[in-house]
Amino acid sequence: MITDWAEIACDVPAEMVDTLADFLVELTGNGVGVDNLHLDTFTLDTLEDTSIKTVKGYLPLDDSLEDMRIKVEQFLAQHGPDFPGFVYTPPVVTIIKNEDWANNWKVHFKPVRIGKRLVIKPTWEEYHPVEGDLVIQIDPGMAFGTGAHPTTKMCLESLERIAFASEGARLPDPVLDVGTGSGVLSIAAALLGATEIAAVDIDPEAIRVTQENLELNGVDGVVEASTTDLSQLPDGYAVVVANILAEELVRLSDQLTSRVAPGGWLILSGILTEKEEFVRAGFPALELVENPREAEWSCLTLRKPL
Amino acid sequence: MAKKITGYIKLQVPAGKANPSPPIGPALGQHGVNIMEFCKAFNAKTQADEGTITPVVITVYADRSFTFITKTPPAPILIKKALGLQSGSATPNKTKVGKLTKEQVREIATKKMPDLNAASLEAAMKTIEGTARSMGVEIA
Repeated sequence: MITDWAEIACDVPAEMVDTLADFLVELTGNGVGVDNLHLDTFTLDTLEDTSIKTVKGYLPLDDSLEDMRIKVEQFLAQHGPDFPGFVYTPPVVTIIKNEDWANNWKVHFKPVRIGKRLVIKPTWEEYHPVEGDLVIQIDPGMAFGTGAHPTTKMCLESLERIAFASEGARLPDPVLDVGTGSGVLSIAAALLGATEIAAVDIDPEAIRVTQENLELNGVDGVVEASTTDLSQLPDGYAVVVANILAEELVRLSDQLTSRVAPGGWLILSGILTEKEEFVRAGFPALELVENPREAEWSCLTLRKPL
Repeated sequence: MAKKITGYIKLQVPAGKANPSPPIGPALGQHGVNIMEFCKAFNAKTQADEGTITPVVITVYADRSFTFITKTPPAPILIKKALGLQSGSATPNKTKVGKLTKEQVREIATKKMPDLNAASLEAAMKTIEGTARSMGVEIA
């Protein structure tokens, strides 16, 4: 049973990273860390590579640590001078408490209320719904995070508002979810009363995840998930929601407009506020009903005249 | 959907054997990423090269979802593979453990080219030769 870990961190020129990593892996039997950056950006293009890197090796904390540290020192002193820019700095040892890493990340995900009635919760969290709550269960993973991302959240709120404004406070049928991702918007549409929902995505992996989530929420009977191309779908949807990208929305504007039934709604999201006008201009045949904004994101709800 | 990037992590881990212990657990844990999901996806993608050290670059987004790409094995691994070596020389200046031909250097450089910051194949070959020398491997 492993108690704690020792991290051995070495600063070396970027050219030496692979050689040192190879040595550390052989020495410890574990992988190594090279970079771990906390960022706040939309693009990695502007990320500058540093000439000095910190390579971190890991080993279970036991009596061998001192011996291992000396071996790393010797390796650096011996091999470092072969690499231009190398300046010897002694390796830094840090003790890392053993944690349940496989589960601890889950603390970042709590049930979140969105709009008036919708609640998104990860499967492992206990949640006691109050009357009228519509609970969506989804586990975050590669394709999907908290569901509370502003672009998703604004779509969910718009769907809820449309449902409230419609007959019987139910979302009208049929509904089309373009770029469904995890299926969260389709699940919400089903919980808001729609019974005929098409969820499409160009990514088969997204459709596989969507299908799992539909079953998890017991709405697989009313949502049909597929990779069907937008151009192959019929017209006449009472509600169309597309949470993709500004440029894609505009590129697909003719098809999206045509899929909406007269009197029907089109929710567009995934739009940076600075691109709001650009997207609005792409849908001249539709009336703007509302355009909520949150953080740097805008959402447009449009309606086709009867 | 364009998503804000909040984390950028580079690791080198054995293919097909990712697990939540270090370096993966602490590195991804601080970004709040679903660690088992990463391990499963990484292992599925790299199963064919099980055990080979594989560089992986993970991008974490504001909603804590993520993507990752794997790169070609590091040069020392490819050099050891080409020569059938267990490990490099502990004293590379004194003890030589093998000899790479120019052709082998070219092959490794070609394989590594997409992941090296090299302007030309010749520059990439220079990098590989440097790595080889630091392991006690001579160039024929």
